[in-house]
This record gives sequence, structure tokens and C-alpha cells, in this order.
Amino acid sequence: MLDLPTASRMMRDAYKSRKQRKMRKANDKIMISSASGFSKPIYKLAVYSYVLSKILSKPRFMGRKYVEKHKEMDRILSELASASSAGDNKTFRSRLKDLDFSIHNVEASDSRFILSMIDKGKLKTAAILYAQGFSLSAAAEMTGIDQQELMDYAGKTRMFDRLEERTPLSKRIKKAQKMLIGDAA
Amino acid sequence: MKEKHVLADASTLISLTSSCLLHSLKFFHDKFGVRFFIPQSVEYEAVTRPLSLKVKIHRFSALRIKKMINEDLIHVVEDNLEKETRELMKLGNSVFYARGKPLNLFHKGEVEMLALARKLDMGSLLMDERTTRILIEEPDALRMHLQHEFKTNILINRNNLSKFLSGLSHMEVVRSTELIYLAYKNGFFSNYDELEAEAAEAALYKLKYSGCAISFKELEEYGKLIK
Repeated sequence: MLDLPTASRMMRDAYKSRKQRKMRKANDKIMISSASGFSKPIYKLAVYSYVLSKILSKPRFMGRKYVEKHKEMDRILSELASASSAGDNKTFRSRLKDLDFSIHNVEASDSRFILSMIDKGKLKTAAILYAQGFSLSAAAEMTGIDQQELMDYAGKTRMFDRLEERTPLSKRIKKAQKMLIGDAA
Repeated sequence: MKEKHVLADASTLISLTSSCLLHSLKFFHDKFGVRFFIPQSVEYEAVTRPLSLKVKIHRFSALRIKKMINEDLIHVVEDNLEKETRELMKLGNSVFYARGKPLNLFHKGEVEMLALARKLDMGSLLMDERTTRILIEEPDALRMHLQHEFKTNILINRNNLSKFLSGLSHMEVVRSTELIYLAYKNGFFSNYDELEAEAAEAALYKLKYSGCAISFKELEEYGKLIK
């Protein structure tokens, strides 16, 4: 399981390399850490690392007009990593806010969807938590995502094929028959 | 006709309303005397909360459920279950352990419904959410899944598990897909005439895409049963 300073450093280094795959790998690891020892800061890093991997994957965000924005992001991530290594929670929280603002700033210049990238990151994180084995309402509560939103998203994935259930369908139907129809069956 | 009582959770109401199949509850009520109950937390999650949000994306679904409540097709059980819910949640969240730490998998949403089922001694539960259902039905399958997901050994505290499940062992959990399949078998889609079977199968897929925890393999099985 990753600690906060390691997760922050991984994000900083991945972003500096501008390699989407590196950020994606960091996101995968942070996500597992977020699920197995949930805390607000590590969850936020899970969401932001997902969003940053998305930014790095879009050629439209790699143009000349974004150079300064990327440098700004590098600076924030570097300060975030230093703050977490020093255990400076106040600065860490403040840099997270800066990161949030910078991401909105990048997106605002090319806004295409109703759902912002950060909202999508939260939704994706919630779906991963649910897929991993957290209950629906626990995943929704942890991430601040609406249950209906999460169900809509989860329903369009293959997450329910990942857990092999042993109860045969015939048994489920019999149970339902007894429950809903009873003697009339 | 003997009246039957079924407790429903938010996930089932959500997937039924998202699939425009909520009126199937009226079908079972009228035809088989089934009364559907929900705790206050489910009403909050499926109705009050979406109606209070600025974003109106789920407003219509919430209104459809509210209408069913107003028409007495869904009954809200008003009961203070805070203490029971807290105790049950504490147990549920100390069943699975990863690296010596308990996994806090459960939240008030699902646990309050189980507490209500225990208190009212209700044995029938409609639930589309996966984790709580699997914990009731096959806790070891959930352990294996967690082990695979977290890539570490997961231990079960059997004592807490049996305490958590006590009073729930007689509980039968059914998903909205089973409900709609039985509705089909009893004429719910008969007004589709020659499209009846196709409509039933399509409805089951729609429920899956709306978040009901069913695998594609099971849907294929349903497809064979329908044809």
C-alpha cells in the first residue's frame, strides 16, 4: 500500500514525464491504496491522478497554448510532494486546491462535456471501489457520487462478470417465485 | 390471496425506474397481493436527495418513485433504527481484514435495510446492489473476490460474520431481473403481442445497464428461458 508522500511523488514524476501510461500506472496503484485504506487525501490523489492521466492522453491539451498550464501543474505537484514528505498537512491541502483550480482552468479552455473531468474522475473512482467490493452506498458516500449516477456507470461495465457467483439462476427464480407469487405459483 | 411483504432497497427502485419498469410493482401488488416496503433511508436516497439537488438529471426517476409512495404502492416504514444500524454496521465492517486492517465495506444505506428486516422479521428482500447480497448469500465468494482485487490475503472474522448474519439467515434476496422475469411469465408484457418474449429479454438487459448486479452469462441464460 502506498503512503501519501510516495503517491504524491509518483504523480509528480509521472506528470513531469508527460507520459500518460506512467500516470495511469500511478493511478492504478493509488486507487488500490485508496480502496484498502481509505482516507480523504489518498482518495483525492486517486481522483486527480485519474484526471491528470486523461489530460495527458488528449492531444488537444498538448498544444503550445497549454505549455504554461503544464508548467504550473508541475510546480503544484512538486510542492504537493514536498508538503506530504514534510507532513505539512496545511500546505498539502492548499496545493490540492490549487491543483483542482488548475485542472478546471485547463478544462475550461476546451469544455466539451456537462460532466467535468474531476466529476468523471470521482465517478470512475466510485465505480472502482464498488467493483472491488465496497457496497454501493459506501462507494457513493466515500466519493460524494450520487448512487443513481454510480449504478448507471457500473451497469455499463463488465464489473458484474468479475465475481463468479455459485447460486444457479434456477434457484434464484424459485426463490423469487416463492417470495412474489407464493402459493399461487 | 395471502398478502406478501417484500422489503426493497434503493438500488432496486433506481434500476426499475431507470428502466421504466417501476409499474411492475403495481402488477405484483394487484395480481399477487405483494406489498413493498422501504426504510426512510431508501426514501431519502431514491426520492428526497435527487429532488433536492440542483442538477435535475435524476428528478424524474425520483418523482416516479414518489408517486408510487403517494399511491401506497410502496410503503415507507418510519422507525428509528439508528442504534441497530450502527451495531450492525460495526459488525459488517469487521468481517473482512486485509493486512490486519478491517475493510469498511458497508455503509448505512444497505445496513439500515438489513436492520429493519431483522426488526420486522421480514424474510424477503429486493436488492440490485451486489456486495451486501453476496455477503448474505456467499461470504466466501466475496472474500475470494476481495482477495483478487486487493491482491492480498483476506481473512474473515467468522464470529463477526455469524453475528452479522444472525437473524438474516432465513432471508431470501432477489434482484429486479428475477422480478421482471416472473412478471413476464405472468403476463406483464402480454400487450406486446408477438413481441412479448423479445420485450421481456430487452427489459432484462435494460435492468443490467441500469445497474442491476447481473452478469452477461446470467442474462444469456434468461434469454434461453424466455425463447
